[in-house]
Amino acid sequence: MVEILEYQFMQRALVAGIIVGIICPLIGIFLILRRLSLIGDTLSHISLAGVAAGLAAGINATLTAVVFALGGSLIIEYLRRHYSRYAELATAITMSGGMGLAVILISLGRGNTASVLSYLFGSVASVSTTDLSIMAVLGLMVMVSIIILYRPLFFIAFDEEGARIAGIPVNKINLYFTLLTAITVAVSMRIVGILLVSSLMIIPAAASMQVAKSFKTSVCISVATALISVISGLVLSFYFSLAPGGTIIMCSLFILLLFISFKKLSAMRKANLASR
Amino acid sequence: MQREKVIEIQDITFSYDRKIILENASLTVYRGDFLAIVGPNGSGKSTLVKLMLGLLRPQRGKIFILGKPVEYFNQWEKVGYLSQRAAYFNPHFPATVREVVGAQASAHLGFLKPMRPKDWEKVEKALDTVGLSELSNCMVGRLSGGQQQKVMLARMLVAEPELLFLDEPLVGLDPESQESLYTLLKRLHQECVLTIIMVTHDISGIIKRVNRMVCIHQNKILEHDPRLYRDKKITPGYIAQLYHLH
Repeated sequence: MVEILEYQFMQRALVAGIIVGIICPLIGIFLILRRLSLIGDTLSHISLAGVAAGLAAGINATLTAVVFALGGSLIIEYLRRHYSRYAELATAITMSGGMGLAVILISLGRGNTASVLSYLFGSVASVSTTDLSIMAVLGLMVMVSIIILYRPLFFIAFDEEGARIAGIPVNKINLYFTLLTAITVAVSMRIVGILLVSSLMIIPAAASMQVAKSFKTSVCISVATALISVISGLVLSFYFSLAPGGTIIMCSLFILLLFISFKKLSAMRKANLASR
Repeated sequence: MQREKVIEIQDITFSYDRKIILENASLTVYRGDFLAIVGPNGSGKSTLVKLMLGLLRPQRGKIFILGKPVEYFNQWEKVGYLSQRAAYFNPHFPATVREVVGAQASAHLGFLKPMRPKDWEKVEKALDTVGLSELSNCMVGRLSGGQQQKVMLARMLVAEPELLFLDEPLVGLDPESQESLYTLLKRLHQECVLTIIMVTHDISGIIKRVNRMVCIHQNKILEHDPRLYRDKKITPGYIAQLYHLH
């Protein structure tokens, strides 16, 4: 463990991983409860277009990914209001558009294939100091926003119409939350890769819902799950030369399986006690 | 003595795309009324409630709630609304009964103001009123259908509202839970002097308990005096047949 910290790129990767491990489940738990899990995938496809645009133009790709993801989130919100009865259409249309644009931009920026791949699958070695600064500022913004909006987000997730009647500005909060999701996707792609960002949002939150005894504990367990997955994934990928994104996601899946087994065992134990 | 109008619907017309739901429809609800809205599926019962709450806007006509045009009304803490969707909430939602009711209590506090002890007292009181104090730390998804509906009612009561809108609160409940919910609503109506507006299909159950009943039929709001039923001049079966209710 000490050896890993001797490398500056691993120090940066661990700090970035901790940021990602906190913000991904914070956003993910509300996405799951609002049945909007697909938005993470959609925004990551759009981020890929942003990365390709940044690499082609010679601008910091994390920044262009943030800008593209923010634009994509505005398009999703616009389409969602247009197709209010088919909300999932909005995400499907935006995802298609994002992927199409990404493919075109990648083909325009020939010679950057290796860089694009590092964003697709995650590459801890290429997290620069600039990347880390951008991640820290945006990550802090996401954390503070979720702390401030915790109560209304909970209310909207449980009963959106009831929240409107209670005077909560639902449309504004929904829009802001989609922007936060976009930022989280763009910030996290350096560590887990564009293809796996939404998994880090969804799996820890899904794992926490297996064992949590309240919403607050569910949030805490999902953040703890993501942090353990990110740190253990980075350490394992360092020592065994594995792809970090994939290793992190496999660690989170392992924890999910542990929680499911734990839940089943405790249910069996309760049934046994009841039958005696 | 003139009774206070809490809802006034004046000659409204509302349609979804080209399908007319209400045309030149009017209705006045007075303080203390227990009003049932019945009608066939798709007749516009829930739409009428959403219009009263300003969630939908009529193409013509005006709606007043507690004396103000609904589009300018801002005292929403005086109004409780149990929507159909809330009744079908995600059963795996990872929250306790106390958290769910507490969220409603905190709605008027803004984003940052913490819940005060008196807000938590209101939560406990609301749970006590619906008889769920002992289950406050249970996960809401583990409760029975009847208990979940009582949690939803506790959410409404926590803000000490003057007006309660309930959209099909009995759907999916067994007869025992339905009876228990009716008893609770009757007690709330009498003890808390609440005005209750309830959408339901259960004519025979509701007609014995409400003081007013309206049906939506051919885009109009028609009123029946429930006393006619109690005097055996009409039967729930007759009303069901008249409006093609099942």
